[in-house]
Amino acid sequence: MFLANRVVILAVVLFAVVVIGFTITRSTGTPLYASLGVAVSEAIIEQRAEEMGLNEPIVVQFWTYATHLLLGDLGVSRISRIPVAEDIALKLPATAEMVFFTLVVSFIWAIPLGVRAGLRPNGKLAKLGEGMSQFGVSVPAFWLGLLFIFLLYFLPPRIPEPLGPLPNLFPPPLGRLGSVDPPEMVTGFYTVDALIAGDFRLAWQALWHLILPALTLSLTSGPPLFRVTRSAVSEALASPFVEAAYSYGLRRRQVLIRDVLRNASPPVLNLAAMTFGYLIGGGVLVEVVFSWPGIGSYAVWGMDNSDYDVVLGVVIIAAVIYVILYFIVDLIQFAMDPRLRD
Amino acid sequence: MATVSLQKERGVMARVFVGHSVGITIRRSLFFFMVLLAVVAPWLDDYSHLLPFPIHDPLRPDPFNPVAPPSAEHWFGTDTLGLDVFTRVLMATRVDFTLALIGVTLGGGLGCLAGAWAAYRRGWVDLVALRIVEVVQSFPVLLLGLAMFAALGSLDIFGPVDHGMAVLVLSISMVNFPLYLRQVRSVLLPLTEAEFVQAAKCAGLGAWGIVWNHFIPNARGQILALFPLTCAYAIQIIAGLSFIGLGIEPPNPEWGSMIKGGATLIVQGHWWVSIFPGAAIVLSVYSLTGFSARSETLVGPGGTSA
Repeated sequence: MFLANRVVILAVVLFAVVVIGFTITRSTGTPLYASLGVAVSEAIIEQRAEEMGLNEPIVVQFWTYATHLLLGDLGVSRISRIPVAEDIALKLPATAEMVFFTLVVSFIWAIPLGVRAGLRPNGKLAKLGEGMSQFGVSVPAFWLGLLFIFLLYFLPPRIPEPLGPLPNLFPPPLGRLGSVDPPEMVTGFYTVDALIAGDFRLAWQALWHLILPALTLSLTSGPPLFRVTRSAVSEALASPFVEAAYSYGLRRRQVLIRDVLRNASPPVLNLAAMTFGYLIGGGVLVEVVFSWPGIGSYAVWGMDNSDYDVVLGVVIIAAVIYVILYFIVDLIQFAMDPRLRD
Repeated sequence: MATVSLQKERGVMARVFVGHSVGITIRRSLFFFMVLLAVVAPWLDDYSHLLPFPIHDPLRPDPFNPVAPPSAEHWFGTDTLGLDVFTRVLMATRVDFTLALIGVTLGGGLGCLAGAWAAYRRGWVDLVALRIVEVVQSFPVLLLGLAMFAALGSLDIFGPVDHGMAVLVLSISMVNFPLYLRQVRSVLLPLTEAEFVQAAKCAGLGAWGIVWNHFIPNARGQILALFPLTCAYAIQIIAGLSFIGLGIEPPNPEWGSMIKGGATLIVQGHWWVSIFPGAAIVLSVYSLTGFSARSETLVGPGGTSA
């Protein structure tokens, strides 16, 4: 029942995405003028309309659109004339790498603080974590990015002339590598690709460029991770099996690792996966701030140029990734938790 | 019980301010202070000789004084056109607060009705409502806004209303509709079989009468708790969309578009153009969340709704 429900949701969402996409492409005025310009004769317009299938009945048009979409055809950019799907495939790794390192940063601060806050709800670290999440929820990510650029890129003193123009502490907010050539594409993650190519300097360079965007996104998307970790740990701590473990005479350390952390981890990992899926399309503004060449910047570029197929392509891909990830997380949960199977 | 009756005897404003921690009281006062400034902002110019702070025309550029750092004359400095950042931050409060309020009220109100209706009817109505919620919430919020602008970009359907503002309000409603629907539905679902509902039915009250008179009042607490949070979140969305150039057109003061105006200056160290409007966002979100016991992310994973 649980699984069937999830499959239905997946199908409904995919269908809705197609319907919304279709409505939007058809409602954004005439794609004809957009692709041809205004100063063309009636005959050419008519011919082009026939080519593009705009004279077919709306149902047929919808069917064509849906089948194309499900086969991965997201249309062609009106500006660059490159298929949107190709562009997205090229830019998705940049976004994925940024989001991945965001999660890495979140795992460094949110989860240890959350565990600590669950164990000692009134301790100093619990207060620190609560303060950080309050801040992270109140602050707009794009503004925090700009603040970091100012505080960490601009402000730190540069070494004066005699010692040579040494680089800033952090790189300028100009994308994944600055002006250096990217490593040969294998995974699309520059850090990994550079390591595969054996170029440690380049890998360091890529990592260095990742720090500020990842830090920004992590501070604003990490608070839920902190809170879920905290409540999962305090819940596990208060449960009967922990009491039982203590009464067996196990030491505190053993109980914490074997019972508390193990039982607290599923909701946290679940949320981490969901956060990953959400941030693929949720980090748009941070990408813009750091000139990160991911799908978010691509969507904004499309919006600036009234290139709606681009915008729509990104929206669809982001939603589909989120829903599919949601589905996979549910499957894993289903496999791990026998209580759900009834 | 004593405290309850005491609370009842006090007026609404007293209940807002008294009986909370100092921090909460400060946050709430801060909010009312911002609202006050926003309300009187257009008339400040006429009385500038009485004010302790320098006020300028938010739309009149000073071409000889662009990107001037904060000074006694321009408390928050000036931007690339020589517009006074301080006055504009003040004026922007009006736009951001008003649009957030309208958008949340519209989407939230519809969401409440739909949620109460779904809880009352159950069955397929409930199922459809939940599916709608799931579909809307599977889009990242900003991309949803982007898609709204793409969809409505070239349509002239709002008549005399400013197009960008109208789409902003619609985007905010779109985000809030599922939040309120879920919350209200989950609160009211256990009440479907309650005795007062049975009694109302026996008394011959129609479905809408029951939903309106008996269901929605029971969710009032939750709705009121959600309202400041969603407004705070709406301000962030409005600013975010304006930051990428959607919604409010540049010369008009709005926090997000002001931040955008200073974004490229920040690498040269001209921080004031972006930092002050952003600080205003942080302050307003922080003061608004002071009205709710909870402060958490609402949308996306880990939110109350995800």
